Amino acid sequence: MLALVLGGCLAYEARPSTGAADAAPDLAAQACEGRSDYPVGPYGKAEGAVLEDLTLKSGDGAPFRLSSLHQDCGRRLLLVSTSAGWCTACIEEQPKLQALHEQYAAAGLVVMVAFFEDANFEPAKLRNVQDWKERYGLDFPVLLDEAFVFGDYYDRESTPMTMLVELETMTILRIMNGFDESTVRSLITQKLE
Amino acid sequence: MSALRRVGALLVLAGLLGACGSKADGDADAGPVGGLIPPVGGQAASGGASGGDDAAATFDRGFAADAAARADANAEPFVPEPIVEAFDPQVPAAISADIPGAPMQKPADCRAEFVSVVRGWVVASGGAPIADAKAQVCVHLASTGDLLCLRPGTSDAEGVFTVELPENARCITKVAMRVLLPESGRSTMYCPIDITGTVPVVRLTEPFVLFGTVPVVGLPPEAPEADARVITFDDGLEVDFTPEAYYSGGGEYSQLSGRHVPAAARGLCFLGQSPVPDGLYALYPEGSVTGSDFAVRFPNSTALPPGTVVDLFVLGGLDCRLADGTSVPEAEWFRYGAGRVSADGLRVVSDAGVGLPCLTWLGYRRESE
Repeated sequence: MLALVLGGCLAYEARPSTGAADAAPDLAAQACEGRSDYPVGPYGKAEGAVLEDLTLKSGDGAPFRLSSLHQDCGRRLLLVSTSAGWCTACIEEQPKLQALHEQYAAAGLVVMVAFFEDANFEPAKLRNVQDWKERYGLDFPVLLDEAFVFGDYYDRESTPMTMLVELETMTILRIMNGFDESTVRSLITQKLE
Repeated sequence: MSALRRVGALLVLAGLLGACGSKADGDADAGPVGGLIPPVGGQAASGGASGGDDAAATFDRGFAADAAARADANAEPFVPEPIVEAFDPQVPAAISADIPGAPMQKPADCRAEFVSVVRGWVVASGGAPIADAKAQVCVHLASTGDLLCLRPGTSDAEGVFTVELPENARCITKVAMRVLLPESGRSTMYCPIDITGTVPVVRLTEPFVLFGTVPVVGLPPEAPEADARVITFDDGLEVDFTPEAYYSGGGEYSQLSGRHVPAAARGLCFLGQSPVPDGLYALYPEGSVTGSDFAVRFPNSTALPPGTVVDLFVLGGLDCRLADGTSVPEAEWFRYGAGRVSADGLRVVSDAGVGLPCLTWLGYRRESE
């Protein structure tokens, strides 16, 4: 019981701390049997593999680990989108991501942007992440991926990437170059409804 | 955001000063100011270039130095390299050279255009090649219609760049290019690329031209960011500007610059078959604008009669949206509203409620009949 409570607290603490707007969906963290420990490897970078417990940074510079999402039983599906300040396609995608967040957060979807470069193709800084979130009015986590760790999961020559991950098992369900909204919606619907 | 932006601006300023200092102290080959900005063409940096090269290199060094003194209302305006309307640069041999390994065979299942490589070159407005420019491609995939943006190619000493399209982004319907020299004061250029009926390797013989801009003199302090102020760009172009409504992912308010560009200048690829503008301005740094409050006033330099109605145009860029949410496509010379010549005939003024949607390129033209 103590472990469950602690797990829940840890999950909360690991959430972004830049205010309510940067928090993941408005669900109470629910520690649960079997979700306190992050799945052990082997980890992989392709569909069907278990996603490593990657660490990015939230808007205030605090570490953000994927395990904080895994530990919350109220969350079922993670949608990761890579974005950069030079990426027009990413800019066009942001309102669609926000719409998905609004529609499916209550059902357990976590939308997350991993922001890796600024408009001049330089590694992103915290300020870029904060500006991006503010500029596009995003209510879900926008995280700094300064080492571009998600670049190892797709052809990094073309952006954005869309990745869907089952949060209970941290299994990578789908990796797509681009953002095919109908396909993404269909996959989300299959998993959450 | 504002506090961090201010800290960031100070850091940028400190970096500029530091870079200038260290260069001047430690590099005997550096110009009088030192080089935060990469030199334009190898020859220009070593002092043995043609007049055009010299002008371009001087511009790039001068703009960096000028950034530090920008807040001084009494500073003399910085004069960039001249715009040579009829320069005729020699196309680098690399444009037509073989590109080993470039996929040349269109797959049978691609029923749209197939492009594997885009090669082109970048010059300053005097014709000098620009090294270290970034040339970026965004493509519309034929399979899904999705937009994908590719990592950029970087220009070499001759200004030549190569962008290799990844396998998943070769069967496409549309291509737009974004070319810039980061932190340089040169306005970002967007060009549509005609790929109809092309072979897989697109070789662009017409150069991308990056125009230097003139820093705003007497720029008001950024704070308070919610307060509107009038910013006067080169040639007297005025923009009602509110810092908090302006977002640039690649520059700062303190770097605001612009330049009047003759419509006959070479390299205005985005104009395509559009009618020649009566007034045309390059702006920097590229940025988006929220809302419709950025009214503009141009000097009526072509002496249009008072009351004449004009169309206002903007070049679609990274994030250019009208107040109603309409997105201006990249590289499109887009009519965003109307204006008219003032009663005294001195200015062309945007109509009430017509706001500049982004800072890229801006122009006006007498309304079509």
